[in-house]
Amino acid sequence: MIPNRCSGCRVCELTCSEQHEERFQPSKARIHVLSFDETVQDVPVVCQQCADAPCLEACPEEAISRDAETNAVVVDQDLCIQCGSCVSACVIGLDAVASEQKLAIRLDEDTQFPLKCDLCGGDPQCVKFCPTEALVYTDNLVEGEFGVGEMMEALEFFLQQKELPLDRQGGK
Amino acid sequence: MYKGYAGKILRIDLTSQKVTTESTSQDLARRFIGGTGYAGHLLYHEIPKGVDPLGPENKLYFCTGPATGTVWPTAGRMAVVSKSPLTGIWAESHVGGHLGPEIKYAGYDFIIIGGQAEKPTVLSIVDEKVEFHSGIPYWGQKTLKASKGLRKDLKQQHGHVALIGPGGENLVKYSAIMVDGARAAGRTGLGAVMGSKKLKAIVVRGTGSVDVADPQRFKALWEEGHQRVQENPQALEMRKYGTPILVATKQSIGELPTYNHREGVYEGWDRISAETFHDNYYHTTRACATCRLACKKAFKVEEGPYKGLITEGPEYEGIMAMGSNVGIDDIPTILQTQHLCNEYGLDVISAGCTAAFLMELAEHGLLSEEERRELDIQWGNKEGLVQLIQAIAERKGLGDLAAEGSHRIAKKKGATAEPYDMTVKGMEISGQDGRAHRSMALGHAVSARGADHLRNLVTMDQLAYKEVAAERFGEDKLPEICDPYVETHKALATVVTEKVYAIRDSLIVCWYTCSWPPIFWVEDFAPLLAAVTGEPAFDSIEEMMHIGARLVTLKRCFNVREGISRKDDRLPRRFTHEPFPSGPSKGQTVDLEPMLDEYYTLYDWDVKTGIPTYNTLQTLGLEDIAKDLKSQGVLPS
Repeated sequence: MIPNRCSGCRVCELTCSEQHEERFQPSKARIHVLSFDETVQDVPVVCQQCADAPCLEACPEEAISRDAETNAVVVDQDLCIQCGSCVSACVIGLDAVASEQKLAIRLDEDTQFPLKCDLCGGDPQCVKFCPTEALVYTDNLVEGEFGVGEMMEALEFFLQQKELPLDRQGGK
Repeated sequence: MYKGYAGKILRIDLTSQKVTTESTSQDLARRFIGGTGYAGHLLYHEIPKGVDPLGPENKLYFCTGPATGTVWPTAGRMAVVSKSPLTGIWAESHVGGHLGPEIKYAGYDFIIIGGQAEKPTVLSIVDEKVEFHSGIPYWGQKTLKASKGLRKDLKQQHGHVALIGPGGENLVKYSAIMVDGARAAGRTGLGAVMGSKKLKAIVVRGTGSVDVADPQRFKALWEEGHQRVQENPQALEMRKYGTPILVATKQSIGELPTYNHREGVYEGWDRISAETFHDNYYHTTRACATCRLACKKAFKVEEGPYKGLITEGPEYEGIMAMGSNVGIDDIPTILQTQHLCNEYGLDVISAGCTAAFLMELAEHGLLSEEERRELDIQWGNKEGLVQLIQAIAERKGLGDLAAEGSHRIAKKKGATAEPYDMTVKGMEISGQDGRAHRSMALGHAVSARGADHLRNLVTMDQLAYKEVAAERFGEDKLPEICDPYVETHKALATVVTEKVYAIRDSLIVCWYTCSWPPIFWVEDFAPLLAAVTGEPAFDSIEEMMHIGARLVTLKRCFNVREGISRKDDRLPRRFTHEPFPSGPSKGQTVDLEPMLDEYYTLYDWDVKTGIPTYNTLQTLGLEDIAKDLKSQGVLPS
């Protein structure tokens, strides 16, 4: 995710919800764009499939596992007991366990199952249709890309309705 | 109800604080689709003749369409419809950002605001929950601060905000409704309508969905649509530079409004060109919801009096209005004036063009000593322009007069000032000039909201898209149809374009991609609408054009009832009698009358009066309106 390329068009949110929900519903997308109007910046926030995924560690039912093929951290709804431990554990989640917040993982308001990026089985639709190549699907961070730390920071600024400082927007 | 629609209309009466919902009508959707078409039907029947635009009887219609909220490229826009305080007739302005989709996700196709609050008010709409809050803490605040404060205070960080600034609060006749900072429903003075209702802001948050009738067919259509935008060379150029790219284009064809339209070329054009903006001031790119074109550019000033300024825009129109048309070639000044218009909530076109009008009056000694005392108004005076914009929003000194718009000033000043009044039906002319672009001359003259470039602008002649022109209008119309300096076939091009744009404005999708560059047209809208709604009758170009004619005629009828006829379809004298003194369009003037004759004929309206006949209205399925206009005695016999 390279925020200085992001135009804030939210095609990612819509393609994500179309893929997973078969409708256009950004509130159920697994990816979200934070917009900062005063400094005119947009930052997408999405699960980074952490190497030492805290959500996976926190799950009491071992319902979260790593897909061997895609490396995605995925939820097995048959095992999930909708307890929200994964949401609390996620570092791109602050302390807020609220479906309203744009977190990398959160509980679906209707089903209470966790909503998180599963990389669409290896062909992430948001990456495929991102108009500006702000979303990239690689093993390693590329120049200008936001990692978990920068994403956390952006989210904190956003939730407090503060502007993201300009030097945080990543390399040009 | 068809798919694609949210299925509900939210009505809010500010006088009684009564909130009601009603179902969106499938019958009306079939006849008027949505957006400004459906709202036009409601406006005609709900706002009787003679209603004061700034009184409690006027209403604001926040409109979405069946495509809004889907992933179709550029389906992120919305429109606001009302009766205009600037012109006294049809008011319509479109705005991007993310509010339109959010209204759909909240469960509404339209939000209709009537009445008048006693005290400043803020509306919060979160799905089904509608709340009234005090607007007093935000009244007087500029738009960026207020929208940020509202999101924070109402705990709606993900909500989207439509609001007015001091311009709308002070009832500036061309004040804007701003969305999320720098997006404006700018034209026709909708901000003043909101201000007259004491409504500072609407905050909307929606968590619902938009469902389409045929997901598979729609997916194939939108995927191809995105692909076509992605590969279009002009779209790529737009994505890099945004609409400022038009500065060079207009200069090259002699259509860059300069010194209040006295000239069509500007000596300082390359100092305000897209390249100069991009190379020296570029900050970031922003897109409206679902848009791949991403024409919005933000710029940053690194030095000088406006050091540190970051602002979204300006568009070409803003560069024209605050640049060439007032003789200013200084980008930081253009950025600052644009920023002030956004912050105060003013239409940048009318504000800049009124400034140009005042500058020409000053040049001819037509401003009084008192009017000139506080502000130094003259061509190219950068500080004077910045001060004037502030004075307009605050209605101080000369700004109070300027806040009424060029046409009212001209009427007040009398015959000596009138030759410099560059308005049609009371609205300032946008950044085109019919002398260099004949189809636009007709378009400005006949548009429902006055001098308008967005309801019927033909790019075929202006930018010589010969192949597209042949496809749309027929080989036999070439070469004249692509010659910007002749009147021949321009009524045909304008009528066809106007019908298609009326469909576009009811879907609602953006001007760009179906105008310049011409990527989508009616043959794309027909299957799109059918796939989204599930109504097979929409899947026909013929039916689309029939509905298009209905929608254009409907708006005309609203104006006819207010007294508009052929006598009002006029251009400023400068366009018809004053040849361009230099540049590629040197010597050109407009011969409007033959184009008007052909235009009314093509719509089957009465040629003598420019009023639709009873039979035409009947054929278009507007019998209710035919009866109403007949009973008022305004239909031609």
